[in-house]
Amino acid sequence: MEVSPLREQLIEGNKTFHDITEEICRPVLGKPTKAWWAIFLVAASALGLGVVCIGYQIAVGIGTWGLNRTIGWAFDITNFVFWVGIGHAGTLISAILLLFRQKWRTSINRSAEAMTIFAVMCAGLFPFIHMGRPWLAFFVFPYPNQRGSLWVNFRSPLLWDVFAIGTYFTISLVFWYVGLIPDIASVRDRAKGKIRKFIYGLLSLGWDGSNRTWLRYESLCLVLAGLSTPLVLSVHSVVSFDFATSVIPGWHTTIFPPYFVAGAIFSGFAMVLTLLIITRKALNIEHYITINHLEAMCKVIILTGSMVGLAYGTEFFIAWYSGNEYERFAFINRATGNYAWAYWTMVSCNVIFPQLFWIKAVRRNVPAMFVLSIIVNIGMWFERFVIIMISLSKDFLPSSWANYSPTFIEVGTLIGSFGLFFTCFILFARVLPVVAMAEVKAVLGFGRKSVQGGAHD
Amino acid sequence: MISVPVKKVLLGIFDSEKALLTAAKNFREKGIKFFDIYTPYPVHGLDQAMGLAPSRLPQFTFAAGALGLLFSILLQGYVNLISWPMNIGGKPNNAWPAFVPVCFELTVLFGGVLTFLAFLARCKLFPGKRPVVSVSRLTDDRFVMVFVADEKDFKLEEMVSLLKQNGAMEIMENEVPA
Repeated sequence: MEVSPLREQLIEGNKTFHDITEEICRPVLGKPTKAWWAIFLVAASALGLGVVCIGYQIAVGIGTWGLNRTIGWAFDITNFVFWVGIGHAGTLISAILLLFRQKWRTSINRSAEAMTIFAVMCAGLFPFIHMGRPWLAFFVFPYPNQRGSLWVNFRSPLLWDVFAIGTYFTISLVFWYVGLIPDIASVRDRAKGKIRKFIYGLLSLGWDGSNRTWLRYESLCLVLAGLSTPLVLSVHSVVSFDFATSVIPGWHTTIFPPYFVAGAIFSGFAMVLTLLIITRKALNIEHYITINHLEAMCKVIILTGSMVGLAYGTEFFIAWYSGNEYERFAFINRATGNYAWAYWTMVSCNVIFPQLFWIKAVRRNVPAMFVLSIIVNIGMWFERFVIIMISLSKDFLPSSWANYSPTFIEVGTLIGSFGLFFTCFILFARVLPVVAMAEVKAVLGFGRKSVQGGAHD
Repeated sequence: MISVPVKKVLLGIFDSEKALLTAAKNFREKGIKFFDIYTPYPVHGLDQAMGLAPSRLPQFTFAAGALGLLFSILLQGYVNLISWPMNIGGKPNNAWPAFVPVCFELTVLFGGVLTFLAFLARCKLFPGKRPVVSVSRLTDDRFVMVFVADEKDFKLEEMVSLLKQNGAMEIMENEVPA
């Protein structure tokens, strides 16, 4: 097959199919390294702190939080929205980039999808705690019951959240598992030891790479991508309805759905970047997740970061242009009130610093990317804090204005959610192949003259 | 152990996609039927070479999604109009724009999950199933072409030499569950 000289290789290092299987399966089949144990222990300790804090607040009640009569949502819902947003990059990479036939996605889609699943788990934790009596959490499902039957309120955006997050988690999990089946079969065929053979054997569902199965498999992947594409745009839109359908100045705006979705993809890509920079180094897979992959993600960050910046500007313009004095006050208070430091942290982290990615040298400098990706994550956490907390703190009646600061329990729970996220991710990198081997093999010929496979273009 | 009825098969093992595709086209031109072809990743163009029809899963997804949509409309209609009508903010009971998000989510949920289950059923994949053929490095870097060798008019020597001519690196006889 003729190869355009303009195409750069997706996978570096002139790998053969066998090299790919060897190198990607190695961390799964070998023994964990000391570095793995070190990261695992740090993550597990953070998770331990979270478990203690969650146990305490469930036992004592959510009066252990710093909330008051004015500020009824603060840290907890901030964390919920933050984590849901993180998940979006995974679905974008696996679904939207699949439909757009972006072949570079094959090296990173597996870990990004895993990240989505763990992030949605972290997100789900917060409304669960927020219920105060989480043992009654099943009340959110509509089912015939002995209370009337008393149903859930289908006109409440909080219930839409239940459906949106539930569907998002289920479909992401199915999509991730479907992608894993052929690779689990590769691990099964190389595994030694009875227990491993048994477990990977069960999970691989007897996969043998039959072409009849591959035909249906590719059809299934396209269908799932087609379903996930509107889904990923809908999830954060529905989350934003929690705010947009209320009457609080600063929340009651129609810009929220697109603005939240752009922000979600922005923060999600930053988190993918943070995770992959560590993973590619730790697992020695820099030939698979190359600097070109990282650069492509930086470009998505500039695009979505600038969209978020545009949304911040639009919000201010509309607050002035609407002539609504409450709306106007809410925004002046954001930028100059007693939480102005949070607002300006958000603006500098989300709008100013990511602009450094316009410079090619920064986009291809791994330490710089790592630092910037963390800055974006901090900025996006503050965005949610600013929207939720500042808007609530000064509402219509000056007599009810109040301030808020988190308690130890709330901060501990946030740290615990990071612990849960990283513990899950580290375990994933240990027991499942972090790069989609079958998909990488299919694009191996891309940009190469001679290879066992084809170029598929 | 219960003895499972088996079929004799002839396997031709290839080590590159190109050789496999060319061979598959040559065999199809001669009118020889494949039992199946096994590859480590989806090889494009192999479906045509094997003469496989496109999958009908997308049509199934449409039906499954429509079922989810219908279910969500019936559920929300029953709850809000029949079982327990409630006055919420003075809005009409059938304030349908509020029902759109749940309709959308259930359409996607039914479509995705049912299609996945249909895929497993159609490909007969389930936990505990044994792979139909097992050749070393099959899920790694080998492409395996399989022919049923049980039929009367099957000429073993002719097939072996044909496979060799088409670049098979290894040829073996094996059995698969009938």
